[in-house]
Amino acid sequence: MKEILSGNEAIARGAWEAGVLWASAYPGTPSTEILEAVGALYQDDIHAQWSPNEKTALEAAVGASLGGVRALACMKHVGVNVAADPLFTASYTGVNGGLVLVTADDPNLHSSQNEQDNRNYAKFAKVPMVEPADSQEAKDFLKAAFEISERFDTPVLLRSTTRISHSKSLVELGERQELPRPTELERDIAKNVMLPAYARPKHPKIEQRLADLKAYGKDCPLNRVEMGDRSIGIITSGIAYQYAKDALPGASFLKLGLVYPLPDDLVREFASQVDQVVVIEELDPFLEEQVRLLGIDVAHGKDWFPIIGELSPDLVAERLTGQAVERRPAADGLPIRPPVMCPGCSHRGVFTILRKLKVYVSGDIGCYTLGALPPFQAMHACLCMGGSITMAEGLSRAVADDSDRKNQVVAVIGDSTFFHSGVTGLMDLIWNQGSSVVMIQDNRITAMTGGQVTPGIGKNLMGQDAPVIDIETLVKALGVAEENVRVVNAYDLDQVETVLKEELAKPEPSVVLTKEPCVLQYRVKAPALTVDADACTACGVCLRTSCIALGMVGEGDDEHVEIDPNFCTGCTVCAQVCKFDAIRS
Amino acid sequence: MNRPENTQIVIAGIGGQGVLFTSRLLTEAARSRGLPVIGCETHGMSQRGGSVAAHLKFGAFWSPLVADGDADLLLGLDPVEANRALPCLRVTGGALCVVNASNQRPFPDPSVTHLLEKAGVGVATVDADTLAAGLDSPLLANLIVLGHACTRDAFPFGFGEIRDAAEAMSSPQHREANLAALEAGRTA
Repeated sequence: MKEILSGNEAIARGAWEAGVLWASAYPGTPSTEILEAVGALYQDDIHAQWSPNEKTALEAAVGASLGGVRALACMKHVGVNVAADPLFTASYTGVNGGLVLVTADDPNLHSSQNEQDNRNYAKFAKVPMVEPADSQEAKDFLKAAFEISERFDTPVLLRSTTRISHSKSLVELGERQELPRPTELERDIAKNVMLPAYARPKHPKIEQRLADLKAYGKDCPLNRVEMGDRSIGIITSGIAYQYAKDALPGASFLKLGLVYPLPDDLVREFASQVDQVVVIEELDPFLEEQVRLLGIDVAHGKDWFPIIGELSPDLVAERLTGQAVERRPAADGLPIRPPVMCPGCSHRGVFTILRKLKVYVSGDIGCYTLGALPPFQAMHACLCMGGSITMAEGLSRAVADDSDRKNQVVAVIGDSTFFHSGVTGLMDLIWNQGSSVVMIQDNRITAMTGGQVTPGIGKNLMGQDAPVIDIETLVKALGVAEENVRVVNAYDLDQVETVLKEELAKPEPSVVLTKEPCVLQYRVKAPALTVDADACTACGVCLRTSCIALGMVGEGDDEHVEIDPNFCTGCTVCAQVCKFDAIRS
Repeated sequence: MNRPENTQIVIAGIGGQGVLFTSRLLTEAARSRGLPVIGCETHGMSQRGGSVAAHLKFGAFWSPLVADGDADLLLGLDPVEANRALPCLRVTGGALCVVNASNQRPFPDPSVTHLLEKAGVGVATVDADTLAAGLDSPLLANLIVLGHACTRDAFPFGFGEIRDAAEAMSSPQHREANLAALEAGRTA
C-alpha cells in the first residue's frame, strides 16, 4: 500500500517498521513532526516522549539502546550541538540495540538561528551518516540505519533537511519488524564506562570501524550508480539529487545515501568512467573535499553551487544546462511580510513595557524573539536555547559604573526554553550573586514549533497525565528569594511596568513570571474591541504594539484606526496604550 | 481541459489562511486520479502571519519544488502574496492564476499587468474575503478561491473532483461549511 507522507512522517513510519521501542526528542523546526507522528500513530508500540532538551533526549535513547532495544532520538541541527556531548562518547561505547540520531538541518534558516551543516558531525564524532532524498528513502534509510548501527556497533546519524522533512511524496508502507525484548540488562563495564583506561582501547576500534564502513559503502544499497551520458558524472545526495535529476535526467549519477564515511573505491570507479566530475551539495563542500582528497579532479563544485543558503531547482538547472533562466514577470516594491506576534499574544504587552523601560533585554529562543524586530526592537541579544539568563549575568557586570541605572539588564525566556536549559543558567545567576531580573513568560506550551507540551503543564507527548514541574516552586527552590518571585498578568500593562520597576531596583536576582496561555494553541478569544473613530486621533501609538488586527483607514480628518474583528481577540493591550480612550470593549 | 498529468501548482498566502489545507485537497484530488504527487510546504514561522507557500507537482517529477517559470497554476489566497509569487508562472502555453482580490486589494499589481498579458497568463480574481464574510466563515476564503478556480478551463480538475476531495478531507463539523464555500466560489 502506498501513502503520501512528508519526510518526517516517513521517518516516524520507518521507526515503527524497524521495530523501534524508544523515541525521544525536543521539538525544533524542521524536525518536530517526527515525534508528533510517533506519539500520535505508534504509541501502542513505541514509547514516545518529548524530553526537556536534546541532550536528555539523546541520553535517554542511549540508555534504551544499551538496554538492548532499538532507540531513536530526533532534533534540529542546533539541537545536536546540545546533544553533542553524549553523541561523541556514544560513538565510543557503541550500542546494544540500534541507535539512530535524526538531525534535521535548515539550509536558508527558514526557522533557525544559524545555517550549520551537520554532515560535519559525522566526521567529527566518527559515526556513519545516511542522507535520504525523498520520503520513501527517509523511511527505508532509517530502517537501514538501524541495521548499520547494530552491525557496526555505532550510533548512526540520519540527516534530513527542511526540503526533505517538509516535502510529501508517495511511500510504500511495510509491516513492523517485531524484535525480541531483552529479559535482563547486560552489564559490560569495559564497553560502557568510558574511563580513560576503557576509552583508550576504543579509539583504534573506531578508526577500524570507519575503515570497515568505507569498504561496506562500496556495495551498500544506499549508494547508487546511475550511468547515463558519460560526459558528465554528478556526485550528489539528498534534495540536491532531485534538483539535478529534474535538470539533467540523462546524466550519470553517483547518488550517495551513506554520505559518511565516503566509499572511496566506489567514488574512484565512478569518476574513472565519466569525462568530468561535478559535485552538487547544499552548504559545505563536505563531499567535494573528500572527493578531491582522493586525487580526483572535480570540474565543478562550490564554484557553481554556493556554500550559503539553499540550492534551488532553477540554480541547479542553470548551472548544469548552461542556459540562464528567463526573467519572469515580477512585481516591484511589494511589502515584505515578516512573522509577527499573533493578535492577542501574551508577549505583546510585555515587550511594550520593556521598550518603554529602555532596559537591555537579553533574549532567548521562541516566539518572543520577535520582540527584537520593529516596532519593538526590545531585545538586544539572543544566542542559543537557555542563554538569556547567563548572558544577562555577564552583561550586567560589564558596565563600570551603572549608578544611574541606564544599563539594567532583563533576561526574557519562555517556559519551554527555561525547562530546556534556562534552569542551570538561573542556578549560575543565583550562586554567583548576579542581580538581573529574569522574566519567564510561561505560555503553557512550546509555541514557536507549533504547540508541543512542556514539563510544566501536566501532559506528556502521548497525551497521558504527567507530573507538573511548577516553575514558581522551582525558581524558589533554586534560591530566588520568596519576595523576589513575582507573578504578573501579562495583559495588565500597569502591573507589568510597576513590578518590573520594583524588581529592577533590587540588588539581588528576581523572577517575574507570566502565566497567560498561548492564544493560538489554547484558542483564547474574547469579544473584539472597537474604535471610536471620533475619539481616535490617528496618533499611531496603538500600531506600535504590532498587532495585525489594527490598521489605519481614512484620510485627512477622517483618518483613524480600525480593528479587524476577525483577528482581534479582545486582549486590550492596544486599548491600554491609547491615551484618548478611543479603543473600547 | 481537466488534464492534471504533469501539472505544477503554487499556492500562496499568509499563515492561517489555509494554504496547507488547500494543498491537501488538491493532493487528494490528484491521488483519486491515481497520479504521482510530490510537494513541499512551509512550516515554522508560518503560523505567525508570515508568507506561506505550498508547491505541488502531479506527474513524473523528481524535485518537490516548483522552479521559477514552471508553474501552470497559481492560487493566490492573498493578493500581495500572489503578486510576490508571480515569477513561478510559466510564460508560455497559457498558465493560470486565480486570486483572492478586490478593488481595495487589487491583483495583479500594475507593474506586472502588461507582462502577464504578454506571457498569455490567464487571470481570474474573486473577492473571496467578502464572500467568506457573507457566509459567516471568514477563514474559508481559501475554498472560495479553489471553487472559483474550478470554473476555468485551464484548471486541472473538475468541480466534482474538488468537492469529493473536500468531502473526504473535511472534519465532520466543518464539512458543510467547506462545501458551501467551494460552491460560493464556483458561482461567483
